[in-house]
Amino acid sequence: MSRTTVNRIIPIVMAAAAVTLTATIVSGIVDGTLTGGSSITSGQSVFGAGASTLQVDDDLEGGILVVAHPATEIRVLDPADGSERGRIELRREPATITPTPGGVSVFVTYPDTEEIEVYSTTEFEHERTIAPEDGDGRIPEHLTFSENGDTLFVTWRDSDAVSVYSHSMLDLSFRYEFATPEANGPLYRNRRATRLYRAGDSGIEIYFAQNGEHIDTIRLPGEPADGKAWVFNARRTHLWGTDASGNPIVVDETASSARGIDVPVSADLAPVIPADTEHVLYVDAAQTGLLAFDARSGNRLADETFSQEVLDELGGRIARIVDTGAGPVWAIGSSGTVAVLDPATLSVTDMHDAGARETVMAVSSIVQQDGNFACF
Amino acid sequence: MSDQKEQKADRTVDLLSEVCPYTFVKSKLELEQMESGQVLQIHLGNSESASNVPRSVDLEGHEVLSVDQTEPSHWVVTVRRA
Amino acid sequence: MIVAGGISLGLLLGYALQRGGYCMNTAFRSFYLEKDRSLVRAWALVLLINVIGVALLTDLGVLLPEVAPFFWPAAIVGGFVFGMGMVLAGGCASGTYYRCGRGMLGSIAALVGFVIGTALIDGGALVEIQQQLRGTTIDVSGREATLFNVLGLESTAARWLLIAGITIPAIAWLSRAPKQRFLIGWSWRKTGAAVGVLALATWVISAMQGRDFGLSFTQPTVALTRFLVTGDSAGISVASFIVIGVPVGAFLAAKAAGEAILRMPDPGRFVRQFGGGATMGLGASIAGGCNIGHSITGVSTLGITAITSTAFIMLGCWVMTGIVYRSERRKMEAEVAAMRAAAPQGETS
Repeated sequence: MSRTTVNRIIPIVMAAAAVTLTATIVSGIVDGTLTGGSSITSGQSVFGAGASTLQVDDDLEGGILVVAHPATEIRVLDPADGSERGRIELRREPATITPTPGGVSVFVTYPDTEEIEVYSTTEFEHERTIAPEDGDGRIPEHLTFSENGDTLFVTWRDSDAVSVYSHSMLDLSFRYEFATPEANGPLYRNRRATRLYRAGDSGIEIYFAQNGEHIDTIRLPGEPADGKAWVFNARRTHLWGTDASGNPIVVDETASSARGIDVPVSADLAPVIPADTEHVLYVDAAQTGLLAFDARSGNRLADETFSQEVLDELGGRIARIVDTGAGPVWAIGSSGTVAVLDPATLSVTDMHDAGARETVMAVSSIVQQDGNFACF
Repeated sequence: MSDQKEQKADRTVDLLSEVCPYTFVKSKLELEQMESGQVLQIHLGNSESASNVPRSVDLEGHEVLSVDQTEPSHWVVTVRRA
Repeated sequence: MIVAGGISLGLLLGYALQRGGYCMNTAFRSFYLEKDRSLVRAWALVLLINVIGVALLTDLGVLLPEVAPFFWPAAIVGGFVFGMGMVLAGGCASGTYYRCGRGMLGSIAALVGFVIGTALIDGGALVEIQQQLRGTTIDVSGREATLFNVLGLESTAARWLLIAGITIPAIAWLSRAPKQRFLIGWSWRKTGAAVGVLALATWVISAMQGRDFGLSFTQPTVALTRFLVTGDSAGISVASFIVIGVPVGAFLAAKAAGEAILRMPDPGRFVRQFGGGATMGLGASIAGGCNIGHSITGVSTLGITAITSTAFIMLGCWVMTGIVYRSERRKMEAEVAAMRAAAPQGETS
């Protein structure tokens, strides 16, 4: 290639690069990723685990943690095919299981002790026992990690206090605690864990995470379902829950407002927002199918009642739904069978046996650490 | 770029495969060994050095006589010691 | 789209770095050894664009910048080690990447060293060092370790007051810059503006991916290495694609200028650059960032870890440059002495 040809091509390449870059940013502004966040994608999705082409990332280090009867073990399942990676033997029946943000450990609490047991999700062994400093014999009820895992928020059974700990390498050091007389449910956080959300009788209470100061109350349209989990979308602008009569509630955190959606859903099962999507999925009131809403607008996107064939295999009803973090969502039936779903179309793409014959008590998915987490 | 000033060099230093900071350090040391008015010819192999060395040498008070690109990746800097 | 955006950004950045000769090693060193401040001005311009840009994007809700905890021992030790390595490697982390694209085999050795150095610490045999040094942190009353929070500036107005206090003197200093002489390639103004805009664009396209960080070279290098070696794609982000694009963009820029040429340094220098690269890798992995991750991106958020690390990168750079300068001077004095000793014999024969 002659020198002049080279000199003619290079500016064209650079101009093309500039155009591509500009187009990328413009597309981000247009589809709202940058301004409010709709289609946020994580590092994994770069390799094609998108919602439209349902592909499971085989290299996913994480897994699905299932606690089922007999509830003295956590089964770690491969999100790709449901095969068992290993079992973590517990000392007795747990109250909660909370994976660390990096996904390599799981914090387990029990109904009758202040101690938190930590287990490895890769070696399936007991790693350590933590008696939270300044716990004063109280029993941890719900654990919430900050995004990069450097802070752990603990709520206590029979107490309105929230304790804040610095977390590093499975060591907890007590920072401070504050009282939330207005609220009692599990604790949720914003992206940088600077704001904490907790449901109470008058609505969602918001606290400043640095000093526990009460910032605001967002009134809810109906009474929230008792003790049931809420779920935030990826940008943490919208918090979804269910009211006691079985209707979805969406809290718009940016506008400090909430509204109810008049579509019957199951009041017993918590919604999920699958990774890389802005679809919030609910189980229908009969627990025989799923409903999808847009997590920001609340528009109803799709609904699907499972075929009799699928329902038979699931044991008649859906007992849990869980996001695998790798593309598909699992609907676990009361029989322990799993229906693998595409979160966009809600169609069942595969069925496999999760081996959880009795009622599933707790399910949690662990995701591989992403670039953000690995930064520090 | 050059004024093609034919200047007889008193000293020549080949820094073609050197990178910063060695290019400047060696040029500076060479100049220190010379007497005022003598001319040093520096051969440099990358554009950063060919840009930075004359500028730094100039700010040290020496007179940069020329900067010539003799080959795609070869610059010759001629400096008269102050 | 993100991949295409990342590669494009890398191409443009590599092109700008090569055309501008944007070497932060030179910028840092020039405080100590030279009187030329052109590259310091380019760096200041990059920071100016990014400090303002990042604060603006944060206020617009596009970003929530990730700020390193103030693990001061790691920032000090890592920064100092990185600064020393940078001198021997003949270029900073970004400098090494773009010079590889130009065909400088010494820089390729430095890059290989850098990769090995980072791999030894991040998940490697020496991970304990990193853990020990990062174990001690100073807590800014639970807040992110930025200058804003250290000074207790929480309101938007107070934050912008601090930004004005930093940027206005910087603008005043930049506007009094003398004319840049003996220019090959881009002026500091053009280079600083180009690198600054691209660094800010990195924040934006990273935010689209849910990654609240700007340009960096260390973590993406670690992630790329891990991906290539084990097939584990954890940590692969838009920054990894930028890192791939940089040498290619630099190659194109060098090709256009006719400067792309494979050049092999002598074995001693080759080994020195390799060792420098490895030292740089160790330092960057301990400190949690290099001249880009800390000295551009981190400083843009006014993170105190990044500011501390940058100060010690400079110190390491000065100490090593001082060592190099003295040893070269001794070598030259020895040569001169030998010549003088040999001269009388020459006359008698």
